Amino acid sequence: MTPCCPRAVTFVATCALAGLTLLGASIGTAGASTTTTLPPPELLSGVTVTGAAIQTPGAPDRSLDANQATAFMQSWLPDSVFQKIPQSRPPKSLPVARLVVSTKYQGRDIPMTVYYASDPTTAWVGMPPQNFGWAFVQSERWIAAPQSKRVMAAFLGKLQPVRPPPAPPTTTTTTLPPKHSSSGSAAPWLLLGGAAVVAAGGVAAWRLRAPGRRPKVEAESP
Amino acid sequence: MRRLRFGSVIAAVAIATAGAIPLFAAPAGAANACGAPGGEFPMTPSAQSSGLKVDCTTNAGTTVDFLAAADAPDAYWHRGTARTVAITTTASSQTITYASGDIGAADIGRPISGGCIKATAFVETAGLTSGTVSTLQGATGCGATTATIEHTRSRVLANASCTTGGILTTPAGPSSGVFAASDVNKSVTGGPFGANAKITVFTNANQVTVAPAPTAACTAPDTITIGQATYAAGVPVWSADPMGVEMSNSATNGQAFSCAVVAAHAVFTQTAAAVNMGQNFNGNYAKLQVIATGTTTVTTAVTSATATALTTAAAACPTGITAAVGTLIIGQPGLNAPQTGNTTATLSAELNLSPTLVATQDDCNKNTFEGFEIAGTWNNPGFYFGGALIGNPVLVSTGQIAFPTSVVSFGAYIRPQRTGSAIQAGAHFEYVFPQLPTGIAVCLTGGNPSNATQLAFGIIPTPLSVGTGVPTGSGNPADPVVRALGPQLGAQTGHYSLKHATVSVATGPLPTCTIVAATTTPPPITCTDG
Repeated sequence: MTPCCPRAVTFVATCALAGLTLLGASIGTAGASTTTTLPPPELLSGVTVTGAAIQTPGAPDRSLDANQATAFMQSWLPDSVFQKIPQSRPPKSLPVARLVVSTKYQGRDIPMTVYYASDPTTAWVGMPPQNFGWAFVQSERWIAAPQSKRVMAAFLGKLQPVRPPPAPPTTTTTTLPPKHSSSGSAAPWLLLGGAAVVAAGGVAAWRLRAPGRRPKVEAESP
Repeated sequence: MRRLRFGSVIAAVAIATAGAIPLFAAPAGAANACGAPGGEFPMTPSAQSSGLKVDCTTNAGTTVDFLAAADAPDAYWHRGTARTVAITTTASSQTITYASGDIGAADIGRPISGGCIKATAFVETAGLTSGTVSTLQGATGCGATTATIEHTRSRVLANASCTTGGILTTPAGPSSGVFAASDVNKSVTGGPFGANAKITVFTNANQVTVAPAPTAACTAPDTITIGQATYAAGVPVWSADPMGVEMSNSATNGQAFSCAVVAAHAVFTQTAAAVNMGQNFNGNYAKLQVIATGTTTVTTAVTSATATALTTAAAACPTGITAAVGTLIIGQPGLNAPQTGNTTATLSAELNLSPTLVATQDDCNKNTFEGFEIAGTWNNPGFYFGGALIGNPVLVSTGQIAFPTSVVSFGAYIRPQRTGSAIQAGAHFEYVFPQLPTGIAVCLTGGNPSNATQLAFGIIPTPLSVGTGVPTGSGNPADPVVRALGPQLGAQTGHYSLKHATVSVATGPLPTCTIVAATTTPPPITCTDG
């Protein structure tokens, strides 16, 4: 094999690689990489939590988004339904935060008031008498949350809701398909072009390696 | 598969309630259904101790959050109503006094209670400011009091006589039975009277004819109950007595009523849907209390009624009543109505709970059952935890059963269905649980875990605790405390509907119970696993 042959193969391979690189770049440009947040799961069938506003004495008002507020409700409500939890009020020295949790039930936006207090080890959750359509509170009730750490994290907005298994990630990076236009997408053509470049490179390399089939350019070389 | 982690709790509750709460049945085969071994108890007619048990199973991965149990046609639920009146009683006398017009001719024959008034009393006479009751009042404890007048002519006669010819009589004068033509077709029970005995002929205020005639004469003075049931063409029918109900307008269930001012009076008109569920209004609704709420509340009383409209003393409607918002509460609880807070039902479940959502539970794929039970307490119309702003999830109801958990409570409702419903033809009552909490933390994987959810709904027919003592024979004898069986015999079948949101999961019949005629030989108990 003459010295020219390795150079030619290298050239063709470089062209093919460049084509593929260009192709990849083109596809990357055609589709936008975005971060999508899944909507929260239902708290109870037909009941969704859409957010919460928090007022805490001595602290600035803040809010939880739908997922954070759902996680907060999930962190104590199921425990309170299925376990016999004695009534327990927080020490009077603790500030009591007031959460107005927004829920949607039967197509209506219904606010729900929840109280919260915590010390370093225990979180207390309470509710004043109220009716929110799918359930109601007959008199003011307080419990020490069995999963206090989860409740504390959820109150700070650091907990994501539990979803029915198999649980998809709450936040996922997806590649959105390119927008379609009346002229169609460019991606198939780019893919086809890339494939043609690769194929051409392969054919050229095969021809170069074949006996007696040198390119003319090489015959003209000094 | 482990069974009933909290079984001891259930057993303890069952023991504490003297067996009134039905226990779990063994899990049935995997199918979304309600059925055996639940049923109604007992299997004899006109029985007051009539519990109901509904057992349901849902497959793994199936969420059910709505239950409607259509009770068998022979089952009657609390539905009566009354009003309260300020009166003054007189020791060892039958005389009562009251403000002008507060008690009138329409009240004659209606049971009355309060203060020193004795059991079985009903209004005998009613003048403008004074009247008499059918029994002598006590020697002590008399004076100003609040009396409860039941809006029914069903009553107890404490001094009746009867013949084998079917002639039923009471003394003339102050202890008259005050019979009236409207008593015809009312049942006659007690003493020597047998099944399906009813008044067939009104003769005068002290005499009627009963058929079938008794096989023996009464032991005078006998205690005879009039009107536990009402017949038409020999068949028990839906009572026309006023019903104590809460009507609710909501976007989900539609409109039950509207309000308009006519001739300077607020008139509340029920919709066709509400009429079909409850009943036509009639003149016996007059003087009943009405509480209507939109964004404001109006409390007033009925002055007159047509089949669909109640004219009230109020000059204006409450604001904010729309097709989707508003409640209308008709009447007040009668003497033998369950007291607010009486335990009247249970919700029991065996299910596989998610350890993420409920601390101490094992992993879902362990496929173990966790068990829990909640006792439900009764709320009469007007005392619901619900409200006008949101509305109750049923159009017309005669009671709410609140199931409290550690913080929130969930509600079930007793819904009349006078003209039948989508799940069962003919008049019946339904026990509706519109938002079951059992799905809030159940493992939801379809194949793993593989265990189903078992649900059991128990109805306690007589509350275990009563706020005030109710002397035997007082109140409305046609109105069960919670639930009772009527005089119908033969096969009785209810139906059920399970839903997830608005999507039907399963419907079908509940176990059939054959009600046999009363006999001196105790019948075998075949109608429940109770």
